[in-house]
Amino acid sequence: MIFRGLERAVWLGLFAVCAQGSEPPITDVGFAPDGKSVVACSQSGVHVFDWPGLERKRTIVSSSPNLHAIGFSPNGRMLAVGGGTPSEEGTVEVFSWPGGEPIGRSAGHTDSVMAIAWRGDTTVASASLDKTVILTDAISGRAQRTFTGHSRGVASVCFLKDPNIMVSAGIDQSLRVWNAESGELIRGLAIHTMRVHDLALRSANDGLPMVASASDDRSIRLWQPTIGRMVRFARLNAKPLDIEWLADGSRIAAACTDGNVYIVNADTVEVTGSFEAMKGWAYSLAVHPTDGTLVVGGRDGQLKRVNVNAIASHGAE
Amino acid sequence: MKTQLPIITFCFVIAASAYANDKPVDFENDLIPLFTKNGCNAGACHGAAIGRGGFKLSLYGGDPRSDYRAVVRQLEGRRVNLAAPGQSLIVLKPTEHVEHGGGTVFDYESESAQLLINWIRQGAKEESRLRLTNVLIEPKKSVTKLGEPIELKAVAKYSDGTSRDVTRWTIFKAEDSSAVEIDAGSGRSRVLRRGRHVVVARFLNAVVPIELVVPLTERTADLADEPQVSFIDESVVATLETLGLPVSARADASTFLRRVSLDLTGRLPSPETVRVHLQKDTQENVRAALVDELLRSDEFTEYWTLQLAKLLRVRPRGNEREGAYAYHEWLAEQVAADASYKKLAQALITSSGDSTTNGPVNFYRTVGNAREQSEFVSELFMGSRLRCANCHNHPLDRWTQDDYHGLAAIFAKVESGQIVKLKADGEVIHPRTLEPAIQRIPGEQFLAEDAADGREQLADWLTSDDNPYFAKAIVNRLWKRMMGRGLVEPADDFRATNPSTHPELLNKLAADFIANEYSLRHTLGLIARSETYARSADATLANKDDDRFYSHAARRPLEPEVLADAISDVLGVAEEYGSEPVGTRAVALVDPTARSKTLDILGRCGREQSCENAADAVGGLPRKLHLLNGGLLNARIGADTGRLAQLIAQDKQPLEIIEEFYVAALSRRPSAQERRHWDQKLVSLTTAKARQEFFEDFVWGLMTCDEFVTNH
Repeated sequence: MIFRGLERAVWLGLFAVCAQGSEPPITDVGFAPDGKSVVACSQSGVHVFDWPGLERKRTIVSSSPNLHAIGFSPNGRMLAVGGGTPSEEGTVEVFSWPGGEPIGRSAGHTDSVMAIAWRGDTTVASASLDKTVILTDAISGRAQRTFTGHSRGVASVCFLKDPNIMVSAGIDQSLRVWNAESGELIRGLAIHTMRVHDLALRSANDGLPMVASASDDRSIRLWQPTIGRMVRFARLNAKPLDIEWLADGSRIAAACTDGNVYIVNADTVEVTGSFEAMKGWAYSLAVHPTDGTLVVGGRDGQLKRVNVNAIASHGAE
Repeated sequence: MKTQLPIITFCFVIAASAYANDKPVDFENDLIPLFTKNGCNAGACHGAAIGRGGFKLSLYGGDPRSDYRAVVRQLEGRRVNLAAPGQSLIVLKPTEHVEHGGGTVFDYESESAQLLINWIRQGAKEESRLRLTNVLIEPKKSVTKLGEPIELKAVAKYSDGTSRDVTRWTIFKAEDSSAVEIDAGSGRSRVLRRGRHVVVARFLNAVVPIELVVPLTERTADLADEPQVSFIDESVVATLETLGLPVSARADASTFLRRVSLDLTGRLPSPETVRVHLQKDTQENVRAALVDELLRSDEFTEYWTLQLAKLLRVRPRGNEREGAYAYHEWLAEQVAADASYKKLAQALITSSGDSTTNGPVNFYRTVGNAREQSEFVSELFMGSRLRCANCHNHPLDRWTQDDYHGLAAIFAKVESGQIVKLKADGEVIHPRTLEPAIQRIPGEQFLAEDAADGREQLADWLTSDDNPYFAKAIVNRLWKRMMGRGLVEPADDFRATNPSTHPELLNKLAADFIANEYSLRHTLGLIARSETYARSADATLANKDDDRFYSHAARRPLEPEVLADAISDVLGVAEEYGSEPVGTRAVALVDPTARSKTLDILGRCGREQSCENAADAVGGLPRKLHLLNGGLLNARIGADTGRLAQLIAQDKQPLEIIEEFYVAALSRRPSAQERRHWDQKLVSLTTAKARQEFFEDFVWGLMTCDEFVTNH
């Protein structure tokens, strides 16, 4: 662990200076629970930016060379970071928030962790390119359960409001619904025709739980995982890489390969607006908890602030 | 594995210093050849249709943009590490510093690894400064000696006028690796086996064939005195001289008569014709006159209608029989009138209307959908396997996915029900863009997006005199039908990397075909009158290994329909085909699936797919076994109405009966030695029953011998 940290420091020290070209892409972004800062991860580490200025304030040192996912615990006191060393190890590191002190680490995967989801304030689910999802104790790093069944890498994972139901999706084009307690596979949902990048749970929902999925087949599909039904889908002009529900649960924001953010009405599945957030792939976005804005991260370390209302009217901020 | 990383780190510090001021590395022009040279984007590795290990590259770098996305963008860019280039997965995998299914492809200190690291260090940019305009390969053809070194060299020419030696980044691959030895790094080659060998050079999207020839014998073949009727003989003889191959003698009169009758009319010459012709063959121009007579005959029309029907896969669709009959009748009219093949193709491509009454309309009812139609048309009229460009740009040819799906988009606008008509909203989805494909003339241009019917433009382009595929594709098929092997094989696989055995001859045949109004009959006559066609199938010791340069004629199994008719003709007993009237010849059948055990045994082609390869197989072992042991012959040899029974009833002398069968089956009289042989056999037969049994055995033996079941 210490050795790997030193080694990484040597690499970064040498090549962060040598690199003449692009910054590494921002692979995931998230708002701090208080909405006053943004956390973004990339191959250059975990960086904290102020909001709305997006000025870098500090860096949290990670031991993994490739980072793909961040997530705050529901109580807002911990930040989990997923990543690893490609084809070797998948890691989840847990830091105190806002202190940024390392308080837990697990390395149970054999390939990069691409997504994480908190289950309560003590457990983290990590989805990995090693085809598994592992449920881990956040502090001790002890693996509680391993979910196997995906035939290729897993790209996303989320829990329903009932924390006993977990949904995962990935490169094998399928969604899988699991009993998180028993580890039993409840059902598979296979309608996408290309890899699935992301899942997002609709938080404001009075009826059956609804999960949105984003796929390389350019569709965003809306599912009711508890009954195994695909409700409807929207077709985009580009491949969506990351999706989030807006706070009221009426619309979905999607960051896409064309650098645009598209807003999709969840009831009509119409694209109600779009905005060119950046040049090139927009890998990640996050919805501010209160002020109706988005932060979008992507190629060349770009991090952009976007006003959702401006998108709806096809305007720009 | 992880314990090696400090060493790698140290090495990279050194390497990074050494390469710190290197020139910019260009993704398309530097890295794609690197992937190709190292086999990364080959079909057996990440170039496979579904990639490998979750990483997919375009086959042989045919689509650099998608390769860039795969390397730099997919999986959130994890394959390149911009913060630590030397730790990038794209470097650590092929150097096997992390587990790699393909093993160690190159060393960490190799030029390949350092190029990758430098490119990442420079920002892993996609933009290419240069565009490849041409690749010059030297030599393109070499006549050499066994084991003599040949230095193959590749020079890339770029859009800014610069050029560079790319030999070490070029793949030189021999079609037969046991015949040509090539050093991958230097391009130095040696031919290990006599003959003509093709080496394919590949750099980026350029593929260039190289022809290496070692004469088949140490002797030179002096063919200056060989008779030459036309450019066909000139070209064939020139190639034979290069190879040092002597030619076989001219086929005798009866062999030529049988061969040309079978090739032009699909039937054996009648005994009367044989007798008359054998008396005349010594006269000048008799063979040419015979060819003219056969070309004018109704039998020619019948047989070559069958050939076109096979090519066009004419067959009834389920219970809908009218369409196939209308189609067959229309084809017969075209053959009878010696209609231009160009006009025939135009009529097929632009056809619309009721398929039950309008024959050519059935062209659009042959295959299942627009993509299959695109494959069918390209193989039929262009001799090209466009189908390879369905999933990826063709690795060995110029065809792209845009070409394949663009051609399919033209046919998607045709509704192919009983009434073939335009379908305005017809489309096919391009698998790469996931959008409707834009109609496209393959290799040429996209059509206007609002083009309602692109078939007219397609037909004009395809059948224009300048089209590089159309005429060559059909003359090659005619040549194959007459000579037993195409100048390009397979006949539907024209591409730069599958060169013709006689490129100049192919060009001249095509030009001559065009100059003669695209007349099939003209070209068939031209071939049939050549000295090349007239050679004996008896190989000499010196040319027995030749299977493609026409130093002797090829022995070809008779087509199932032709053999079935020949058996009927010789035995004098007609075969029955389904509900067709007794006496219907197999070559005249419209329905290739008409009930017939004979045709099943002989290996007929059902025309659901191309029959070109099926013609080579023709029944295989089942056919041989049935001929030897089955009822195919035995049940009919002794039939009361058959030739044998009639000859016996006419009180013909035994040797006369034997001669009758020789003439009917082999188009020749028995030789003196054969006469003596049969005479000795007959002497011992004292009863009518014994003679009957002897003759039945004799006929059986005659009809199972190689001389009968082949055209030679």
